[in-house]
Amino acid sequence: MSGGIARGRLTEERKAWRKNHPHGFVAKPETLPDGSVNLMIWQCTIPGKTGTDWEGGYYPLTLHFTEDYPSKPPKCKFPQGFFHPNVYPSGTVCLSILNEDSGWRPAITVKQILVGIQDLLDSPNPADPAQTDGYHLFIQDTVEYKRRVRQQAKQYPPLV
Amino acid sequence: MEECNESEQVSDHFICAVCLDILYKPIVLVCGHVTCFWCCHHSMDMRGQSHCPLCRHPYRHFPAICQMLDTFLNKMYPISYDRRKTQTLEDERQGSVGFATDIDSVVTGEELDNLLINPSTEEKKSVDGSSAGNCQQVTVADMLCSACKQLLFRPVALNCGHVYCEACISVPEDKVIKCQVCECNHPSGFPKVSKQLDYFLEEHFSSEYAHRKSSMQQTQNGNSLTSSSAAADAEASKFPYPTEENFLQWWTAHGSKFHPGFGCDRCGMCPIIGERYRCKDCKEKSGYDLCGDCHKTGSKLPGRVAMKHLYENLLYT
Repeated sequence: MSGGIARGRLTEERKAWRKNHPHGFVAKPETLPDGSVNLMIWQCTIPGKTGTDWEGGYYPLTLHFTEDYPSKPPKCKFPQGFFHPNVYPSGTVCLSILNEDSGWRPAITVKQILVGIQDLLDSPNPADPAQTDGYHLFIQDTVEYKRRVRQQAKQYPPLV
Repeated sequence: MEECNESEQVSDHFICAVCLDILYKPIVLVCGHVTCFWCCHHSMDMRGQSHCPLCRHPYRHFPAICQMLDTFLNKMYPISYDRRKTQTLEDERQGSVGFATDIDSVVTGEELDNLLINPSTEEKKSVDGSSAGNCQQVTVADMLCSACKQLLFRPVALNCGHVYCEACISVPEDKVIKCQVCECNHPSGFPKVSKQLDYFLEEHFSSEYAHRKSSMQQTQNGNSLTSSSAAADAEASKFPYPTEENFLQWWTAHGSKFHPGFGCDRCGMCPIIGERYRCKDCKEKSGYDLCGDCHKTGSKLPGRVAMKHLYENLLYT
């Protein structure tokens, strides 16, 4: 079918987000240089949870949607080299709900994705490592792991 | 978009979780979740096991449109429904799959030509039909059980799209539920209650619903419902889907009976497992296929997607 339903769904996602979204989060489609909006790429910000080592950081995340969305999940990317056991060196997040073959359901909303990734930040899944650096420190050297997390939080201060 | 001047406030129970718009041509999966016909169709895995877009419950049969809900939503939210209709017809015209139909309405070749050639006929019809624009009062009569003809209580839908109270479905000895209206088999095991619809009924028809509830409780003492998914389990063990690890093994055993990419246009089994019959004179690219069981019953009922063809010339492949 023409273009599928990806754009229609993303329009509705945007409407729903504007109506109501969790505090501290940002999610908006990319604006191109000519002022038009590209619904297929969203620039988001995930705040680190208060009371965790991630607090104070506002982590940039890009969602890449395809024309197959929502049958297929979006690709979620932090900046390259992001420090976290379940983030690939490319920045791509490895999370079951974002995997088409295991946990993805077309009913999962952008809001649920972002909140899910926020949860993942402070509760990494050691069964599914995606980078050596973060994974080894997490299981072998908790003190150094925590230091690196807090250091990274300072690298991503609030934008405003 | 034009929705700014749409004044209808659609109940959350009738928002499709896939497109986040009002449900259009709704289908009810065996797990009780409701989506639009095309939203479900798009989310299906044409080559293997499909999963419910809401709960990942595995299913094999793509259900037919729920006629009752379709009529109801059209009455309840005429403006939004009309907008979706125009949009969907436009998409269907451009797409290659065809036009979604339900099994109760036979689309003639002439009508289909009109759909294809003249984009505005459908819309005009609905405007002339006076329904567009002003909301008609929905009543209990729009939400009746196909069996007991009372207000639906804990509604479940069969694969053919007909809706019953959970308690009105009887499981015969051979475990294959049959629809009393269209006599189609329901192949997917005992359906779960559609919560979305149930909540709405309770909200919208509160006094009638309460009445049904109390009378149900009286009669149901001792009549324990065993919502057995035994039939579905048996079906699954008889013909398992391949997993990545045992694919080669699986293929040697079952490969010849497996038709990835082809669904049965009658019972909705997708992909078709077992024998497959294909219509010889279908001009449409997607074609018309039947599974062995449906071919045996020799029914002339229309399929999931409206097509111009004779129901006689079926070629066994």
